[in-house]
Amino acid sequence: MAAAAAEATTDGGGKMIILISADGKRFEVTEAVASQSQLISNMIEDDCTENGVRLPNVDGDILTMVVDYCNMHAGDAAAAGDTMKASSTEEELKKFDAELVQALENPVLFKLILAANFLNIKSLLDMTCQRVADMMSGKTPEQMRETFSIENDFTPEEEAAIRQENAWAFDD
Amino acid sequence: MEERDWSSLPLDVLAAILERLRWSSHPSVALTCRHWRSAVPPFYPAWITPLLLSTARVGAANLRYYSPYYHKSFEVGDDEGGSPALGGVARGARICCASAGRHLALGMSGAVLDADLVTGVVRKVPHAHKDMFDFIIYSDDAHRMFGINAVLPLSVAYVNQNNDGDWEDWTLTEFDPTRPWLRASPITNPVIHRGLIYLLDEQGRLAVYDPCKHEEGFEILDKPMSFGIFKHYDSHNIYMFESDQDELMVVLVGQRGAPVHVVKLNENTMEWDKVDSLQGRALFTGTHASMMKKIELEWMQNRKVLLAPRKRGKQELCCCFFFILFLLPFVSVPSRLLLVSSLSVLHRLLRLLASRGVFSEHTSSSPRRFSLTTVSRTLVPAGGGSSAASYADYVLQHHQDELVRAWSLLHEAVLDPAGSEPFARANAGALTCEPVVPDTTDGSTRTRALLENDIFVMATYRTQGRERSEEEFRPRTACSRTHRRGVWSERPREREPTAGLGSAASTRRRHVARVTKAAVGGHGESRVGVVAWRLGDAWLGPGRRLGATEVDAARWRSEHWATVGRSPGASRQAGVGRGRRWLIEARRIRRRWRWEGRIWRPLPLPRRPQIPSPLRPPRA
Repeated sequence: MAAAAAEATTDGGGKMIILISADGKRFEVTEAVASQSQLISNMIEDDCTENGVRLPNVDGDILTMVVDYCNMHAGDAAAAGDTMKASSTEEELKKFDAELVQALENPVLFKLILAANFLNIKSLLDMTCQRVADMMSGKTPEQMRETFSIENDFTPEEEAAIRQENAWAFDD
Repeated sequence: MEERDWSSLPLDVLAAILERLRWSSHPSVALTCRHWRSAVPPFYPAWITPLLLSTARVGAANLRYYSPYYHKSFEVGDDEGGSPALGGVARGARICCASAGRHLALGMSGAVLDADLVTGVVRKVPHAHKDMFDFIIYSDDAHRMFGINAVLPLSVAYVNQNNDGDWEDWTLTEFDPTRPWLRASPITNPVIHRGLIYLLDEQGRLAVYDPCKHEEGFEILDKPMSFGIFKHYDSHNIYMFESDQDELMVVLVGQRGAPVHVVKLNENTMEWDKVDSLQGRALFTGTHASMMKKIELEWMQNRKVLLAPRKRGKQELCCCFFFILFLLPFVSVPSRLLLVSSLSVLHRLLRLLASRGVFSEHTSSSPRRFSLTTVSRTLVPAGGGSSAASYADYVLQHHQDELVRAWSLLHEAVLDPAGSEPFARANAGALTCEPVVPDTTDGSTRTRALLENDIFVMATYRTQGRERSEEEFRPRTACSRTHRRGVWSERPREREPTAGLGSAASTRRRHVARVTKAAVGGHGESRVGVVAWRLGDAWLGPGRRLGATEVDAARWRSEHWATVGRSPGASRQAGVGRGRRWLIEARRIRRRWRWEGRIWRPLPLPRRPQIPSPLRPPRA
């Protein structure tokens, strides 16, 4: 996928930026694609992308997904001269997003959120947060802990106190 | 890369997720683990507060808010010492403005209190004026407050909040008699519209102040001159607000069942134009603050909801505050009105609605049921006079969606032609409807506004209970203190200003007779008193509106004293004293008022002409 992404962007023209994941994988993307990330966009402005951008917080697998996502969502600049992009309609994009998010396993979703947050890609962050919110909505605290494998670190007294505070939300 | 799990999600991400989650799920998130709990904001839903903080000078001395997050109540100026948050400093303060969701400005003499409803922190911002400002408003971001003295001449002061949250010193304006004079409309706050502060005159004129040019102060616009065809509307029932489409609008609430109109400022001609449709939005008006909101619900569209809190007497153990919700159709006269008055009533109402399937939001998609009917349990316990709960804002803020949906159901219940008489039903099952008069009145315009609202309520009511007999008017549990205070009166007919004194007087006599008759049956004393009081106000009103001459007023007084004094109910139950008290009130209210200093002062009563009074035989 990384290769595809790199290929898809090389003929798009423009300056290329190399992203290096935590485990050393290298991704070559155009500036337009990369600058969807606010973080990288800032770096481009500051001209410190010469030797590739190291992303120590992002795994290769996750970065693959992120780059994939960015390629799909790259704006007009990347779409110019790119037949695949030109034909992709908004509906396809939506479909792609929905499939991407729905297919995610819990740990991957978590990492993707962290990556989106780190790279500061707003649309991706929105999408993933929405997914998490959907997973949370209507669940009791126990179910939430189960879903997200969170350990309960409240003492029973604390928990009772919090329940008391918001009794209206917890009655069945 | 070390293994991390969901409980270590960064706070900003958690915040973004919470934004996308219904607030009803927030407590569950908070209960998941410590880290998540730290991300859940104190959810006093900010956007609701301006809608709820609608108050008047009467009753403003005792007001509570409950923050579910901190599980503590926030209290303003309690009679018995005040809460720790306020430490009694707010005694005598009056709510002036709520903004940016969580800020509440309270005016008191010599200072302004800025209260943060979420944290309960109250900051006192003293100023050099010895009285309180007439209006206090926040800038949009609540980092600046404007205090406006609408007493002649207009002056404005502002104060900024620095980054630490502390308020700096007021920048006041020097007293300058050359500044413009304006009689500001008393119950609507100035509105910030496109960065300028607009102050509404009683007659519909506007004064404008540019915060960037503080030195220039207010300037009165040449136009608009008045509300045009609505200029007869009473100035105590107009509310100005900025619509969600960035227009300056005014709601004119007619008295005694007259239609409610909305006008907007046409910025080309600078005239008030009538608005024919709210285009699917609902309008919430109340003392000081009004707002407009897009409403999905079809039935709610183009409705106006007036929110007005009422104060109960000290002898009432719980619920020192009411919220009264009127639902008025847009222009038609026969209004529909619903009124929720007490906690138990609300409880019953919610149970009814729940049984009819209104509150089922969580049942379909999740195993967890969301129970609304027990909402009263979550309130501050009503353990006595000082720890009473103010529930209405709580319910509204947490269950607004449900309530909005619920209205349509109530609407059906009321309108259902096949059913029994709606108010008989309402009394039996769902609602009790009663306006309550303030225990004490003073000479303020706010008292006036309150009272006139009462009359308006009753008038609206009257149009509904067309076929209702006097017996049905009487609340079911008439023995309770609650109900003894509620009084239904006949709606006084509009008097023709041109009608001769004789005919008007005979109309009045008829009314008095009817009212007295109604009052004799039950709890004579208070009923007679209150009815007479209200009718007195309604009939004579401000002298200018009805054109009542002083002779006329005096004549009315003599008649009225006579009628009430002679009524068997009044005299038998030691009611004379009470009735007289009310009548004295009535007289005070009916006086003409003069804007003097910072308050309305009554003009001295005219000398009572020598009209033979049945109470006191004329001297020979």
